[in-house]
Amino acid sequence: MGSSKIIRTIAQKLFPFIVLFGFYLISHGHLSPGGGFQGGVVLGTAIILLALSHSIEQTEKKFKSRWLNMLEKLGILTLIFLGFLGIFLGYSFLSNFLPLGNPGQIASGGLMLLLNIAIGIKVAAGVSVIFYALVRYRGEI
Amino acid sequence: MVVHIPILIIISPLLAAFLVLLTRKYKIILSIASLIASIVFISIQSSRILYGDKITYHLGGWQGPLGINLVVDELSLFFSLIVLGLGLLIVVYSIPERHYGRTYYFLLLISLSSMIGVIYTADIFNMYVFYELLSLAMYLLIAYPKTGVTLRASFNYLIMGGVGLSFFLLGVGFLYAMTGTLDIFHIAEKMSVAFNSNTRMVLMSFVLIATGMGIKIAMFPLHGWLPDAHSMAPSPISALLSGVTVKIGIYVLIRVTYSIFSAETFFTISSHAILMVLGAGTLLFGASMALVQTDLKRLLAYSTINQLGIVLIGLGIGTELGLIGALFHVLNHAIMKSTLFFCAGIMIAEAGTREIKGLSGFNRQQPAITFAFVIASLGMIGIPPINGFASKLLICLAAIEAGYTVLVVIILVASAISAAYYFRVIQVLFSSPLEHSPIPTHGEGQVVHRGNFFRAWPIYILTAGCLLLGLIPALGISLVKPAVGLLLSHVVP
Repeated sequence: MGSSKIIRTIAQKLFPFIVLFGFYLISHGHLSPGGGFQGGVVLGTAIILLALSHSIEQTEKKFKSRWLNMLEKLGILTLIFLGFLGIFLGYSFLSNFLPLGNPGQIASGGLMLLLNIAIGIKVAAGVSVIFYALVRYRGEI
Repeated sequence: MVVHIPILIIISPLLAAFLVLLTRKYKIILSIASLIASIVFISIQSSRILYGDKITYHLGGWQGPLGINLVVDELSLFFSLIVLGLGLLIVVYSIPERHYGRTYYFLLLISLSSMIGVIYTADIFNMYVFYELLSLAMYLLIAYPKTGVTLRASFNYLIMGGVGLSFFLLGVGFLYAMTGTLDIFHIAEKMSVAFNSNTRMVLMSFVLIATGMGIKIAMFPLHGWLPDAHSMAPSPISALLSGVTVKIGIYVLIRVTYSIFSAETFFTISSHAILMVLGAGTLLFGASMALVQTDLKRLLAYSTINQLGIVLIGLGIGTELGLIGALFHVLNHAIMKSTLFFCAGIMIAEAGTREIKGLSGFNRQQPAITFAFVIASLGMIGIPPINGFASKLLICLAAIEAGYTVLVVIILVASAISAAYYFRVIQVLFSSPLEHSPIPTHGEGQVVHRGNFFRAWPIYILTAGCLLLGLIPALGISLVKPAVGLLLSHVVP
């Protein structure tokens, strides 16, 4: 691909920080602006950045679209499972069954953190799969 | 577990939809099992609801105007029975089609689940979200064969449906600005205060929501997307679109009109008259356009517009008899139109052409399917022993009772026109086959399942339903009457 060495190096060095920021947004979704969807999109853009700076083939070797597809379904199934757990434990669907901590701490939202993580995984995988599909089918149809 | 039944009915197809994506072998078993589970759940509760009990479920344990509630009352029960019953038959009908992959069943289950979501939710924004989800699944299902025509039909529907739902969302925004809540029943409580303080905004939101739903149910000047989308989709999806999806628009229109605006607004700006005029226009337009079609599925699509006109007239009359007739016609049309599209799917696959002329002699190949087609089309016209007659008669009686004799004349004229176009098809079916077919066939004739179990039985069941509801209309009316009682209990205190 035509991208220069500078771009490739910078993208490679930036990658872990973008991923970290994505995880920060996901895990603090119930405390500050952000949440599962926003953090997931940031995680997805990290993969897109790698695919744009390096070649798409190289990125697909690291992040296989089969696994991303799997992760996407796993995210939504986790969400539904957590909802069902509320029913099985005697509350209603999607209700909170975890203890509430002190306000302001990470573990204070009860179920919210787990739901955000599930959504984040789904959105991150979904965004990158959509990007792969757009690149692969470029010029067809 | 009994308390959680409303959410289980929505979640079971949704869960199955994502499980279907993970397996290759069990996709059909999973989808059928989830729908049967939903039907079992709803039938456990149906007797309780029909005796006037209202089931409310608080999602996540959040009550009142803060959280999202699911409410199952007589009206939602009636519509969800149509969705689940026909949904199951549509999945069964799709089994013989080998090239329908996992994505097809995924989208089908998502659409069915979100339809029940629209019907059960008591939160108007949640209703919008479910409707958008349903529409997205529908756009993809129409484009499933990925040919040029289906993509164009789907894109056309995408643009029109997007505009319609944007109108709906704008109306919801106005309602929220006035009342500060999104729960339907809380909005209804605050509506009289809002109506007195700023009448124009209430009327504006009503007009926006009604226009948006008008696009979705293909009211006369807004019907442009329907003939393409309904005729180009795969046959089971055509049945789903014509039989079930447009009925969801009618449900939302009824729910919003009677539960939120409590029929005062409805009669203040004489929108019942507007609805009747538009209904008559829809009726005549659909009938006359169907008359000139040469494509079988396109003819059936225009016939849907025709029949929706009758439902709109019934809703516009607004008396008890009119509403009973309209809702009963919704049920009858769902059954008849899915029968017709199922038959059309078999006919098109056997004959290899969509042209009506190419179907000559079909009677000799498959007499049972032809019989079902004849029964359902006689019902569409409104010939006595079949169910379409009963509901049309009720609407005509309601029109006479309310003093709109001219509507009866319009309905009779449209019935005569529909007799003309359905008899044209029936005549071709019974004529002798052409020796050298001058009609160019397209390459779709690869799925020939003569007397296939999964293809034939949904049709037989639906035809039996047509005859049963025609011979004993009290069965259908007993299901509809509690719903109408619920709607009118707000109007006449």
